[in-house]
Amino acid sequence: MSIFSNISFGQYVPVNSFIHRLDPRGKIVALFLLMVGVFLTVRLDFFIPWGILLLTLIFLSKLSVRFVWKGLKPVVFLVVFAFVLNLFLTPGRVIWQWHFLKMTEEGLSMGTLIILRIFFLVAFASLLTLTTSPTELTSGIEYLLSLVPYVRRNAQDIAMMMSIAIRFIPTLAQETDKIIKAQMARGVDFESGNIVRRMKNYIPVLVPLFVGAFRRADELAIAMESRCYGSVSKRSKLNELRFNFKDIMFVVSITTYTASVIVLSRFLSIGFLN
Amino acid sequence: MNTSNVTKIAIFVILTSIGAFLKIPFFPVPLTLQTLFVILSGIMLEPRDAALSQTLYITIGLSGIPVFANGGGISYILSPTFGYIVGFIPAAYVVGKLSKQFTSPSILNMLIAATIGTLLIYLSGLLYLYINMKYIIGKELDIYHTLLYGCLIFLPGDATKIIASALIGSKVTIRVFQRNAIR
Repeated sequence: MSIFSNISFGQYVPVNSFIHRLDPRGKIVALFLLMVGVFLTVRLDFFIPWGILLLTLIFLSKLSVRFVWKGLKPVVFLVVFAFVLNLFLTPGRVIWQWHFLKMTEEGLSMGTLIILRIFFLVAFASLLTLTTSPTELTSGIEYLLSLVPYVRRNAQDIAMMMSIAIRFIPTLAQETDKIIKAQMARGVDFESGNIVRRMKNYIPVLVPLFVGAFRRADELAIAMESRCYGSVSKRSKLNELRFNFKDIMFVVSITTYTASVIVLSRFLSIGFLN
Repeated sequence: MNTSNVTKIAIFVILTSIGAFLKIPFFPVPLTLQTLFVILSGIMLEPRDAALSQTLYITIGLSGIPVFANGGGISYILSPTFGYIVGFIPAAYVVGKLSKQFTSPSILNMLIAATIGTLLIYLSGLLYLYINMKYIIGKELDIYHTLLYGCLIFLPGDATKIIASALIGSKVTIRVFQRNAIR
């Protein structure tokens, strides 16, 4: 019963490309803009510009479409669910009927809209995780979080906590696995009995897990302090984030593109699909 | 912030991550022990530190490390259940505030704190589920169905989880305090 065998770290694909080299903060802001843009697109034909942009970005990041496709797998269920729900539950002109199930024209176009919307939201998001390493992404998010004063005051400690957490998740997961196996060897049964029984059977796992985790935390703190952690007021970073001209250009062009697609989709009426 | 706080908060980030993988098979939805760790983070840390540990957990998950129940990555924001995860932050904070008011880590006190924490997770989760259904899936759920899918099917499991976190919480806090007192 190894529950942690499938923890693989991240989807990041290391390639040296224009998109990979961009500042993570710029990419997060761009993703946010694109998400808003996709949300505000309510006409089917205006998903074509999003498609063109997506393909351009994939081309610029030197990835194959396969990777983005793989990122879509987790949402397949969500997409199918949303489509079926819209297809049969939207009132309108009936085009197909089977007993109480009514498929409507409005439902069909609404369902397609939802599919496209989720597809593009997830595709843009997975493009970000594919082209940005977790470390970079974490420091990007950390920068955005540091707009909160409490976080800014403790920025270095917070960075340290993230590194500790990322480093020790596999270690503690292994330890948990070991405890579970050890308790199974002592006769604890995790698979049968009613819910209260099962819950109770986890207590012999959780108590040693906690005590072990806290012992580790104490030891780590002592080890860090004996190496003078916290004695220097301002620590430097190994990889400083730099917001260059190319990042500004990237964010500006994404903003312009998004804005023009939204404006056009709202005011232009050459749509052939509605 | 002193060094021992830094490591303790980090440990709770890790424990919350591990909690997502400790699943108890149960009908209709499998239980994870995650909310238990969220509540325990509130019980054992200062309120602000507890909220911070949950924020960091979400940050790490969003940055692509698979610490959520179904993986990780920015696209998790779109999942209808993301609201429950966001609810961990206020839950940890409020449980922290409440449990510091109590003089002893008795089971009854822990029970009250855990119940309120779980309610907060539900509140945030249901709110997000409703918004998500309306704007992403494109179907508005009425209040009854939101409650049914977002809350009622989890209730039996969560009720037992509240009791368990109260039991474990009081046991573990007593032990940790004892150990610190000896030192």
